[in-house]
Amino acid sequence: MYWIYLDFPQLALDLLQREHPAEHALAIHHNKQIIQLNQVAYQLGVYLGSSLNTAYQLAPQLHLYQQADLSCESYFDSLAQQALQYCAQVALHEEQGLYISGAGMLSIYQQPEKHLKQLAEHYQRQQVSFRIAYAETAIAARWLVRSQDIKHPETGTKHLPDLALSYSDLPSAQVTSLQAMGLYTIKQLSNLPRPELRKRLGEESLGALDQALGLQNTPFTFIQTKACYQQRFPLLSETHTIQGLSFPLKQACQHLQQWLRQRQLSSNTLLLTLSFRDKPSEQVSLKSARLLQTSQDWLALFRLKLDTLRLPAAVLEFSLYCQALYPLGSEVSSLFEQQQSSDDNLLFDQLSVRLGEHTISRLSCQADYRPERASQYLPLQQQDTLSYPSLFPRPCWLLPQLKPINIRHFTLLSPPERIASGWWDEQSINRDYYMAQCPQQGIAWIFQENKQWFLHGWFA
Amino acid sequence: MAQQIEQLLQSNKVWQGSQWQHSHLDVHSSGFEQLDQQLPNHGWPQGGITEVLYQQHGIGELQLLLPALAKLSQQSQWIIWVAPPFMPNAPALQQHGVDISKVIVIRPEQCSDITWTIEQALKSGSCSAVLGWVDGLDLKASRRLQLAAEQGDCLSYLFRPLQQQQQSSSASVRMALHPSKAPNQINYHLLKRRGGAPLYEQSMPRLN
Repeated sequence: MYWIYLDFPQLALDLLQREHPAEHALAIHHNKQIIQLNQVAYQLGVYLGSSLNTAYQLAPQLHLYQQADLSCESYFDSLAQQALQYCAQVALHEEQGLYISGAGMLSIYQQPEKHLKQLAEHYQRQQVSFRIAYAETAIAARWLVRSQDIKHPETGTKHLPDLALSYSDLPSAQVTSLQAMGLYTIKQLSNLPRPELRKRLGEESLGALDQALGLQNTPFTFIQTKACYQQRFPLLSETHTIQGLSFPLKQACQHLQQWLRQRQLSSNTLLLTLSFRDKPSEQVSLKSARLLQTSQDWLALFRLKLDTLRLPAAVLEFSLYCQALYPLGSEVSSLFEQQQSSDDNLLFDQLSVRLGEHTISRLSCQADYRPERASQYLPLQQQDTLSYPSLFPRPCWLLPQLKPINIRHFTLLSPPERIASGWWDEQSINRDYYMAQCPQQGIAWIFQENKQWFLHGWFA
Repeated sequence: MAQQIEQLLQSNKVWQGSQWQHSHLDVHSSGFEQLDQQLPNHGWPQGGITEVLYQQHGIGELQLLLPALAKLSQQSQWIIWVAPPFMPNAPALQQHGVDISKVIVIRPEQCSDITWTIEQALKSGSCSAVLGWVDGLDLKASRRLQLAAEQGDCLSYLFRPLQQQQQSSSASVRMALHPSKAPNQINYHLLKRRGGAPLYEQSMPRLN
């Protein structure tokens, strides 16, 4: 059983470095002290812990950022998620470190070194700087990592007993006083009798030491694989046109496909958020009646959507968000609904993506005598049909709004049909309906209410 | 010369008089005996466009189709209405025997989307009939729709304003409706029927 600890001591700086040319001197400060700086700044003479004034005097061209302004939490989370590809249990440390458990991993990697190598190769591809070490216990692995210099990783201590106390998590005041007593390494400390150590260090520090030595267990909360897909895609250069967006979008869809494939999932909704320069970002949502996985399917829907989209400003970046995930091969349907063929779903996908979901409706017939209520539009997914019992003929067209008419131009063709209903919901009607021929010879459905005549439909 | 004629025939640009009322072309009975006699192959053409031109609402423009739609709604496929001018009245359709659970109404917000929607619906093969209301349609778009209808093999009706009856169109059947003084009949001209001469001044009784 072994543990690997991996940390990203200058993640914020790494992310900044991606956005700047290589020759820029970059530094990050916190409480007016430099806490991270890149190689260029280092060569200019800036050092860790120097004040802002000193740093500016040494390198006037320095690009300075405040730590609080830089957020790399979400990126760190995604790095942590990636670690799950190489092991089953990953726990987080707040200093952007990952505890990676080697439990049960020896059957795959044979040696901890191989596991370490796999992880290192993976994060090297991500172009972030990291430190990595393994040990018998999680805390020991972390302390060993702390002894490494980010620029020269091989310099770190390899074995816990040889580790200098200053690299441990013990409070610095205690470390100084222990050093004053001539105790410099973990080995020296662990050789001391326990009752005296407890008296000197206190319960908490002794607990940390015991955890490092494997005498006590360390409690961990392991992270879970994310239940949704969320990914930012910054554009290399901003674009004003849909064409400029299509290639990055293709790559994004392939990334999504990869993610879905790894988890054997599929989805039917996808949210695209476009971030514009100086304009609020916009969201484009894709809904499909089918469950999709492949990038071609997503892209085909995106193309339809983007055909009608106008970009209000230059696009800086976009992100994809996908939450509704279903295991591959399952179908979304209600219990008694009859299966629709995939051709139908493809058609409704295309239509709803291009025209909007609200433009597609079913017709339904409600048990209500009021003509406006008897016929209604329903969303495509709902189905609810009654047969409407009526002895009197009904017109095929209903006007969306009643139209006042002059009855003198109409010829009545039928006896009246009185509809008086709806007294219970404040929309009561009391109408006498007639079939009538209008001056242009069309057959209309008209009614009289409160001595006023209205046109309500056409017998088309 | 013979070769050129052969080419013309193969490119499907010319219809031949010999095709008139051949039984191998699929048709769907209109439900009106008189109309069936007059239409090529005795029915509405399946896999071809039928144009209905009319000006005034309420002169029987839907009643012409309702018997055929009622029969088609017994099939499992959809009947799609694209951009109808008013709301189809569900109880009335039921009275005429149409199963409204098969009816889908699509109301695109932009005019330019209407022909696109009709074309997609025709091509999909998921519809037994497509009804579309279009204001302007050039010959190219009309030809596209005709091809889409052939591909999807379904009944398709295009409703167009009467003023456009002079415009050329590649529809299989064109029918113009005119108001009638007698309230119980439908007046129509068959402006075009593939393989037959136009028929003018026809009338038949209304359903209601």
